Amino acid sequence: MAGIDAILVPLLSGLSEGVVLFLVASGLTLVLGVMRIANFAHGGYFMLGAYFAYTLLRGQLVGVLPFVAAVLGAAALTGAAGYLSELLLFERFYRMPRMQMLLGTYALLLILEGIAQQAWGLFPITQPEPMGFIAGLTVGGTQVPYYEFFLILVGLVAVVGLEYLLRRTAFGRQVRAVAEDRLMGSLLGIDVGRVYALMLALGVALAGLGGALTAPTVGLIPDIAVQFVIQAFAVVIIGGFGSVTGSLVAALLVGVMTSFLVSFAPSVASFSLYLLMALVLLLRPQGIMGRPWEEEER
Amino acid sequence: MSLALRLEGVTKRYGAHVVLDDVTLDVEPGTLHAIIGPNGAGKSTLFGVVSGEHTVARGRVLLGGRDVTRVPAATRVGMGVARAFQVARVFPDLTVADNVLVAVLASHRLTQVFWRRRVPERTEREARRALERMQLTALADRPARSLSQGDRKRLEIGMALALDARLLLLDEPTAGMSPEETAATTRLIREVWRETGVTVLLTEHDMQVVFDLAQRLTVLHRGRVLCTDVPERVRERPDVAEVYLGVSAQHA
Amino acid sequence: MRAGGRWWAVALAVAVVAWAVAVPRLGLGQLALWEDVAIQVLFATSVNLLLGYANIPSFGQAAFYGAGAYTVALLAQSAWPPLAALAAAVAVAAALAFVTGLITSRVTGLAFSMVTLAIGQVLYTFVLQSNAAGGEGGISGVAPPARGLFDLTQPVHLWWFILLCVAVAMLALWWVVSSPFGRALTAIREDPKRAAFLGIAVRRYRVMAFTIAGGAAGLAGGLYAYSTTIVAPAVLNWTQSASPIMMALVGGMHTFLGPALGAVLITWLLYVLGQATRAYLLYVGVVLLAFVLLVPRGIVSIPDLLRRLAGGRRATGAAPEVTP
Repeated sequence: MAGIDAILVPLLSGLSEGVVLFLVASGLTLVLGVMRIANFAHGGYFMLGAYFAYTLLRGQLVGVLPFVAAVLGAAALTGAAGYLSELLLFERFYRMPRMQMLLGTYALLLILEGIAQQAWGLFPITQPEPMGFIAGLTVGGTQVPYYEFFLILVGLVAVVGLEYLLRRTAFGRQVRAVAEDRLMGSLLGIDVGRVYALMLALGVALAGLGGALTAPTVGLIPDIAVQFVIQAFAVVIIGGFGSVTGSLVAALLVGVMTSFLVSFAPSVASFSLYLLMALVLLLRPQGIMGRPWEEEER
Repeated sequence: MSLALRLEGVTKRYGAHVVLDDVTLDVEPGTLHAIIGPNGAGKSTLFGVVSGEHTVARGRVLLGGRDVTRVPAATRVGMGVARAFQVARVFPDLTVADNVLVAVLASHRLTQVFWRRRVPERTEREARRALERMQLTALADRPARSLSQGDRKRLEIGMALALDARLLLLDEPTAGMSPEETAATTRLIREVWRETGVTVLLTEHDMQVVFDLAQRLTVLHRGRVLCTDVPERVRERPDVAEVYLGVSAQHA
Repeated sequence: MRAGGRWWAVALAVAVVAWAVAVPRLGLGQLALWEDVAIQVLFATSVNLLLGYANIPSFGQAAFYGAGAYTVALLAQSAWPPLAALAAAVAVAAALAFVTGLITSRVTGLAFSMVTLAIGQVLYTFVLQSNAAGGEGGISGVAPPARGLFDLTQPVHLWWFILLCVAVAMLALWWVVSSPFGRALTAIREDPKRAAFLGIAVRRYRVMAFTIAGGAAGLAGGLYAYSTTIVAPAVLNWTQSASPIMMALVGGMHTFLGPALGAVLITWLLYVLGQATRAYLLYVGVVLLAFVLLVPRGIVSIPDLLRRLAGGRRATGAAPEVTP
């Protein structure tokens, strides 16, 4: 029975990492698919979520319930920040030529990271894992932290919640109509501006949620904004622009693949994500679940 | 310098919708051949098929006897197929002179030259001549986007000719023009055709222009060829009057 | 060039030479700063060949900049002479750009930006843990062999050497944009479909432009290695790709010298901010955002903008184009 934990332990750890990737990437891909904007600042909101969670808990060791409350609070705060920046900035970005728009969101990324530098400093700070999650379940002799199970559970809830929101609610129908054709959407009487603002808030809140959940597992520095957004972009490319399901598949695939590689082939683990992306691009440029990306060149 | 065009049983579909249905068509080298038909008859699609923009579901496209059905657009340009679009496409931020110059450079396969700054004198001369021929010399230094729709069309035809065209595809060359511009453009096309002996295939809504210019007419209706003949006889055909001239009587 | 353009070029050259003579008297710190400025001028101009002239929205030029830097750093260890090492840097970067260009030539627009960005990250993460390239610490002590009349271990000699290389490369890039090929690139930028129906093989031209820009970025990276004597993985990180784009926008895309102007301003600004505080990103972000929102056509468009604001007579159309 020596084999079972060699498979199961990396699998669980990979799935839990995949969940965080999925949360961040799904927010990015939603914004990309609906508003056609590649939001570099997304990484900044991920970072904000992590710092918000830290600040809400004042870096203290707490129980599970306060932790969950702080994570949700951090996501909500991040979403609010996103809503605000949509009204102030993004509304102008949509109309810009591509490069200007990209640099606009890049400027916002720098500003968010800069704010974090001012507010929380340049040096790593740590948020301990909640008390109940420090221990773990023993699988064939190896301990798997409860925190990983918790992350997988959060992932399940997020998938079901997003699926419900986008498929079963009036808001979801509006979002899909606007994503299909902005003009048609507004002709059907949909308040496109409101849908955009709410979409950005939702996407960014997902990034904040991912960040808050990551807070206990890393040393927090402002630079995680820059590092993480690129991984999320890679997942979005693998999954296909605009496809939430694609992001889910890609994120879990990447998480599990990386986790196994760390155990079996550590030298390729850290860039396997980008290799997979290159492979997908060569074989299926539109991504696993994406539709061919039609864009009028400008 | 002219090229024969032949379509054999060309069928083009968009999903279930058949846009071109078993179209067979012969355009003799050096003729001025017009394609007419009501809106949605498939005229623009036919141009797309000839220029290589669209692939076909069935049938063959032959240029000067050579089967080019699977030959990409850029290669067909090299064989002498030049195209002007229904809404003129020029390079808006380049000057009129540079628009023509790019076309001339492309025709001489000089656009890949990055190691030399000077454009060969011969090429410059050729571009100037093309400008003169199109009576665009006065506008040479203006950015193309500042031109009127008529002047833009003229510029585009000039660029097409600068390619050493052997088959010139003109998609509604006078659309959106004033009566004066239309008359001037009609004259221009006839002159160019006489001077260069190029094969001209054009579509047109303005029946006056068609009967002024065309030696032969093909009537297209719902993706099918109704007939191909000299204008006088096409005019007399009752079925054509029914599907087309009847419809367009209000245009005339 | 327009009438009077030649005089501007002469005045510019005189100013640059005067500055070049003055800088070594200001101390080693200033020398390092202005070497960096010169290098970023070249990098930003190479990136603008893609952005401004060809409308190829690459977000991965750090890969080629970094490839050049690492090539020089590695070759310097085996005491290659500087010119040979730099030639190798250009060749490696151009070859890498050629392959990248081929792979990515099927996608355009936003997707292209994302894809080039991610490909750059492949190289970054690869180098980050490659022992041969020094891993996270990178390669330090990069120096040209000390020999010959023009001994580049002398800071002043190195300064002139870098300036000369940048000047030659800038002239070469000017040559490219004003060549028939450059015209074809602008034509493709304006309307790819029209260009294709003039018989211009659009994809091939994009790959060519990508290769040339990659080679120039490689040269900039190689010079950077000599200037700073240390090459760390950060030169390959994607923020290093964003930086020349930022310079191009701040200075003014669609013009040849705009990005150079932006490079001077941004590099100097980063230096000044870096002296004042370590937490300077906020200020960089605010400056960039101000340009994106208020002056999207860059510094070169400011005179025109002011004229329009002054409200007098009708503004003279768009920003002055240096498109040859």
